Amino acid sequence: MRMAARRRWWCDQLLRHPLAGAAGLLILIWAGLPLVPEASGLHFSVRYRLFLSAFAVAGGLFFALLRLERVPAPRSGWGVLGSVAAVYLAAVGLLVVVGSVYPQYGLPRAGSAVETDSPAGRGKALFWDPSVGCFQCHTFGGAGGQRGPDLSRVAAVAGTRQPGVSAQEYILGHIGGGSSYFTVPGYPPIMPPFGQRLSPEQQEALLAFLLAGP
Amino acid sequence: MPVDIPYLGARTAIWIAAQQHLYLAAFVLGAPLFIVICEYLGVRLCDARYERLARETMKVVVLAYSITAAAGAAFTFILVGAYPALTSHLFTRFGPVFWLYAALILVETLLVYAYWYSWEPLARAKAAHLALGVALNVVGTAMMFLMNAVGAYMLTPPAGAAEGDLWALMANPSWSGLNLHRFVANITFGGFIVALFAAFMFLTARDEEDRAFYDWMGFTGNLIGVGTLMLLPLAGYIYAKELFLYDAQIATFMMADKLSGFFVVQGLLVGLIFLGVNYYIWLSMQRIEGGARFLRQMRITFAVMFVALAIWMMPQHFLPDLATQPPAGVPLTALVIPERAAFLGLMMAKALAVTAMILLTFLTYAAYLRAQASGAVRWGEIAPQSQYALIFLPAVVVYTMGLMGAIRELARQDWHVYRQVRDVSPYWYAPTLGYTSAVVGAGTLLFFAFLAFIFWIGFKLERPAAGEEATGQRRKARAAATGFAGAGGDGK
Repeated sequence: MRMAARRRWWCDQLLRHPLAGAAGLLILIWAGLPLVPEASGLHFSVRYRLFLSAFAVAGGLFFALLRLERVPAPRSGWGVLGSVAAVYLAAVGLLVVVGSVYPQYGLPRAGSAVETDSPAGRGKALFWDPSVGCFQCHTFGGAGGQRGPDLSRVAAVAGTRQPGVSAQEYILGHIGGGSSYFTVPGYPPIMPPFGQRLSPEQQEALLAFLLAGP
Repeated sequence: MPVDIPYLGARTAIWIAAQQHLYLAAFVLGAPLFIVICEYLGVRLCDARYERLARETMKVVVLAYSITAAAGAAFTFILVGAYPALTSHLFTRFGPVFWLYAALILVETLLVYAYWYSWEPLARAKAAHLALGVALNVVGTAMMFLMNAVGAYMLTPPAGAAEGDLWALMANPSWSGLNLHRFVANITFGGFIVALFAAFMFLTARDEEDRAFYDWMGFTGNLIGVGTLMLLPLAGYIYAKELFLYDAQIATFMMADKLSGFFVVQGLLVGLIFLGVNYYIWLSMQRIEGGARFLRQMRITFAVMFVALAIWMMPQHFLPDLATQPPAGVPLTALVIPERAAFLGLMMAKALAVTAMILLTFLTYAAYLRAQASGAVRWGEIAPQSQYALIFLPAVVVYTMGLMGAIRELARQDWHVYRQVRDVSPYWYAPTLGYTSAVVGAGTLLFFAFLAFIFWIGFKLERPAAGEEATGQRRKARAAATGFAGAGGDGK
């Protein structure tokens, strides 16, 4: 009973002083979270702490807004128009700033237009071509997606997947047949059969690129 | 030879023109859906407020109609001039659709003006007037479906599309999803614009009766917007699922690669809409006698909403796309979500977060209805800052529409028609989130500049003629007779 009363008192205090509550959260984020050991798997980096801090501040301001008394309305039509314009400029400005401070990619990405003379070079261009999209699911040399297996070491492991099947045969079979050819345990069977999309020369180029490694 | 547009570039120019056309078209197509319903409710419930809401909103629609057409013409001119190969491809495949669309524009125009100008003459033949309104909505919705077919085809052209079966081209994999999403979203958008109009009129109203009416109108518009808003995430999931089934690479490009940051901002936008809606209800609750008893529970609602929003926005990593590597000297762990919190970056957690927001908003409205059932609503006595919530919401809604539209277009990557017509213009690449935000922000402000112009000339500059003034007096007398007594009245 006493615990419940104390908890209620704390809740009331927080609601009465939302900015102080936000400050408390900021202290927790910046003084408490860094103490969490990395080995725990819950160590939030500076960027995530900044992200959480933005919510603490926004939450404090929002709860302070709830405590706002009745504000007077503008008296003239121009006053109304000006206040409406201010709301729009502030809201849109905030959204544009959020979009602009978020990490931006470089422009433009090298696409299928990147061609080189070597098969591995052509394979590299295909791998990173958005219209082929290998990189969207596979990591290679530290970049790329995680829905499929990391292909950085595929040259070393491909020959061990199926008894009697060489690395070349395995990789080509996988590119051509997709998940219907073979599914690596632990990954969903989502790989499309690229044999329908890529010419045999393109598949060979990809093979050369993957065997060459990062 | 395609022409480029000086200063802006062809892509940004067509982007702005298309978005202005879509914003205005969404309003002139979405608003009549509930205008007719409100007119019907006015007759059915003998409540003059519904009739007035319908009529004043329709006046905005009529004024917005010609600007919609002008924006559509600008969009078409830029499309033909800057993208002739694409125009030729689309006209070759969808020729009959465009002819039918042109014919329906004519029919729609006739119906808009017939519906508006027959309001008084058909005051005693409401069934006929309502039938005109229903016809207007049927034609408007058909027009939207026709253009959705072309837009959806550009992203999900059916296999074997080149053979030329028109129905197969129209009924492409994402057509029904886009139709559903846009149909619901147009009503949401119309509701929020009506609430914006009401807020503007509330703040500039000179007498208490008008203030009470516009308070009620703002609440009703917002209710329409929120009621349909709750369906939108589901409609969005259905649409996205169709894209996933069509080509998983589109889905990956959207959710994990270049457009993933766009979805983080989308989370912020939808979260702001839900917070804004609930803040408005918080203030609305305080104009109900005895409503204050629900405020404590609402505070808890807000706290949970903030947590849900944080989960929704939590990115899996701070890399802008899959091909970008961490800057030199920055370890990957500094940019990636901690391993044990990784579930917060997955779709399941985000779906739960948005579901929590929807349910909490539903509960807030349920509490409002409960308060309303036991205490009188003092229409017109709401705190003025509530009107700024109604003004803020459409800004976020329009920005969301702009950003989601950009995502849909950019999902085609470097194709005009996915895997069929390649974009060989200088603007084939996906612009950054920062650039997209600036264009969408400029488009949002431009749209509201048009809207402010419409509100101003339609409702503030216009002086009522002597006959209309008498009609206004009759309206006020009728409103009083129906029990809508303004501030202090118990109108519910």
